[in-house]
Amino acid sequence: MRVLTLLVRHGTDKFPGAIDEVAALFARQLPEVDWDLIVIDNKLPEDYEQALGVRQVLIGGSNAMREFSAWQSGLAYAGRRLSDYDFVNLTTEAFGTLYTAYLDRFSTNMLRLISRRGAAVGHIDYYNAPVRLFGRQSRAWLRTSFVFLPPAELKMLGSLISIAEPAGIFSGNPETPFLPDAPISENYQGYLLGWLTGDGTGQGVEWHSRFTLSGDTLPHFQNKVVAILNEHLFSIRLRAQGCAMVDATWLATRAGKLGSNGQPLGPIPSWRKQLTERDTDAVPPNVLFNCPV
Amino acid sequence: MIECRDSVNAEKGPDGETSVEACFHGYDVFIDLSAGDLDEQEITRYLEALAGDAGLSGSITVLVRDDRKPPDGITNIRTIPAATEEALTALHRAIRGATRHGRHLVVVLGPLLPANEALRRLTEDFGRDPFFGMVQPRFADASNDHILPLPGDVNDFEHRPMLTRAGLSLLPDYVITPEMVSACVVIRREVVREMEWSNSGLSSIAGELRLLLCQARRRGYRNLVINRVTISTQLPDAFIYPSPPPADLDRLNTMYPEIPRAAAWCANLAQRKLEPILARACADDATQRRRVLLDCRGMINRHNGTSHCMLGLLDGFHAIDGPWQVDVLASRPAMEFFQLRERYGKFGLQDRPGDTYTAAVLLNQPWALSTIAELHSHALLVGFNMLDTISWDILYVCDERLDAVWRFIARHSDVLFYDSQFTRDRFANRFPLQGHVAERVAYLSLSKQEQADRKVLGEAAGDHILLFGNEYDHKDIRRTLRLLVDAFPYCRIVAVGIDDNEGQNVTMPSGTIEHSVLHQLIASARVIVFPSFYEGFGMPVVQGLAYGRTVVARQSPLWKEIAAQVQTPGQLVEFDSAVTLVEAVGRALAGRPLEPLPQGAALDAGQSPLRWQDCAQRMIDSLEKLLPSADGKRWLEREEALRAIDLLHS
Repeated sequence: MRVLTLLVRHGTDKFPGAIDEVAALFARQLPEVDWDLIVIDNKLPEDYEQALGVRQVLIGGSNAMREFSAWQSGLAYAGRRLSDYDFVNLTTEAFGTLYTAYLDRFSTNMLRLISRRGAAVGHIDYYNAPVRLFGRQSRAWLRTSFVFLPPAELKMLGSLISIAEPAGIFSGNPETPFLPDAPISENYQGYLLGWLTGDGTGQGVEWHSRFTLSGDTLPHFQNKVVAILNEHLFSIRLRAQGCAMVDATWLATRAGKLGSNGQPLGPIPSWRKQLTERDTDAVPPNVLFNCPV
Repeated sequence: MIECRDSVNAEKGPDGETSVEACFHGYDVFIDLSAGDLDEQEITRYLEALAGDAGLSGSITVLVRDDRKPPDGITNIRTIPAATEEALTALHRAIRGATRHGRHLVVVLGPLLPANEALRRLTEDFGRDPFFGMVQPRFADASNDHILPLPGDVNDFEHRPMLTRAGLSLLPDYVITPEMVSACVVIRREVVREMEWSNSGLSSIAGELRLLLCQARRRGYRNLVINRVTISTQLPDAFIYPSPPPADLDRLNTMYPEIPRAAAWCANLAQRKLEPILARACADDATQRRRVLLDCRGMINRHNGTSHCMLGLLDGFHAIDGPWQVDVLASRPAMEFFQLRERYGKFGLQDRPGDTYTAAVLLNQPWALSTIAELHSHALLVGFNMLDTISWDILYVCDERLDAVWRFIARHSDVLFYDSQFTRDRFANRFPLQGHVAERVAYLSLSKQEQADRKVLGEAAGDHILLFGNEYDHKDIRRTLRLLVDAFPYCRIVAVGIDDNEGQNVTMPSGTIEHSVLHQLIASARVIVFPSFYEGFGMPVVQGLAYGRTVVARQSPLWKEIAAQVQTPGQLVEFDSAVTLVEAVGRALAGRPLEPLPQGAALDAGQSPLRWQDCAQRMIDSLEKLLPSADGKRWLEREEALRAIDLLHS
């Protein structure tokens, strides 16, 4: 199995050990994988290129849309070689923050189960209620700080940047940062404000870098919102093309049950079913299956 | 990319919430479960999933069988129990509803779960053209994500491989088709509002839908199949592209006689023909991805240069231990004569192509467009092995169609192989190549071990002059024979390639010469004369050199190239006139020194001349190099060109 990791970083100040941690994860959990690494540093000029070692290279990337434009730089760098890989592993330097238990579940056996399937594997996050953004309704998305997907899915997706120009979203006023007719539902606006500047999204988790919204922090707020929207739309667009979100913990659970005897995974259930079937940190069914039938 | 402009003119929906669908006109959904066998529990589960996972908006109507009790109270979903005869009424009610709301209408036949993001992506494609009136996704087998084939005859190939997602990713974003009834069709609002119930006596939803879509097409609206939207399902194929019952179909065909033509159009889509080929090239099983078809139908059931060239190359492919699986196409007489089945246990042998391949290579020049079309219809990449361009140049052995055939491959093939740089230059000077056509001089074996027959190797030189050729003028055998008879009246001359005697000292092996007899003649010749004006490779020359003989050949850049590629005990001497020919032969007969062409100049230190395996490997290497860029675009271009040509004959 061949995997290409595209690791995005912004200098080395904040997460100096990111490369070593990703390498250690692959060595520890995916030792059979034929692994290549492209590190994209958004602080470096876009034409920068430096070999880091055997099959590891550091390049400069575009920071225009943060990790999404950086991954785009990485994909352009890989070019046609991309189709040689079984999986592309999109990751950011912050992959080891927030909930990380799912990272320990990645294994070759588990990835083999979804090799060449229409599936992207990572950690599925969800809101307590569906939100609407740009005419789409969605409640769950893949955390893009560490996700595996086949090159074919990236090829079909086209640009990883869903929102390149955030016109029509922001008011410019920190008191009411969203335009009244912004293409984001009110509850989503609330989730975004809660996550970036408040006490979370009602799930008992707070972001480690939350800040107070003011005139000074408004540009930062807007950048973060666009990044979150891009992350959510990444999953939405994948789903539209038929690429299922696969929760890493659920897949590891299934891999454990199926064993390594080559039994296929079969149909991939909905994200809701996956989250309630995890062997660890399972979501109680009543949280997700609460439709009034 | 998501466009923010979608939201600029967003309107307030009835609930006061911003409705982005409003500016996109939104959609209503009509789902027909009445034809299925879902029980109440399954219907309930389906509706729960529809509400919880699909995230659909607009008015959602689900039609269930009247003997199935509809579940109560799922938000936003209206279930209607209906007898079969009432199903059409329900469909037209949904049409009127979408018309009233000014929305597109999504028609779903069966328990599919089209998610809102997929429908949104589909409706965005209406923006491409005001006459794209219907749009639909691709459907995938939920158990493995393989893409279900578009409707039409599925017996094109013996084993139709299923298109994988990797293969799907190589297809164009969408394909425009005539109307196509599938398990999920989105109908544009402008089309919906013109739909009327004609009470035409149709009994099925599929039939009524076909009628309505046919009428839409007659107004100018085409259907789009979006290769970038897939809906997974476990429904059988017949449910995905449902056909109306025979009575409805008859009625439809009577009303609109062009309906079968529209169906044939769909079945004949270039993309539909490409899909099984891409399925092979992008198979999930890596061992299935590299399959090559070697077309050896130019091999006949007797020994000749072309047959031995092909046998040598097949030996080479057989010796390669690599990922490529080889199938060989040959006539049954040739298979039996050369015992191909016994000789090549690793290969699949066929007398006509029946499968799909990543590549097909014709091991000799193509003589007819039909051969190219046939290989093209079975393989993503097609290549041809040009052995020479003599037929085109001398003209009298071919007709003018050959010119078009070779111009076609210069433009539309993926790779051209040559048996020498000399042949390559002749071809390129006559048939300018498109930039994307890969080229490789693969040669034939230049190894003395392979070109000499071990049974006669080491045989002492006899006393005869061996003259090689045939009756073609460019071989120049008769003039040369007369010259040699006059110049060397007391020397035995063996002339291979003509039948009637030219002198008392001339021997002519009659009829077909056995391979071993021919090699005996070569191995035991005092000197070999090869007077041909024009060759592509000149295998007898290499064979003579392999036996350590002096070969006198007419001056040509080819011989310098061949000499530079070999390391043999023989010597290759050129002549350019009757005088220099007689002089060279005389010196050879007398054992006097000659000025042979230097050998091995093109070989690096320690490098051996090419063996058949090396020649075959060069072909494989070229195919490997093409794989990363083999995305089907060139195939589609070639398909269009072939179709246009086909029109001239139909």
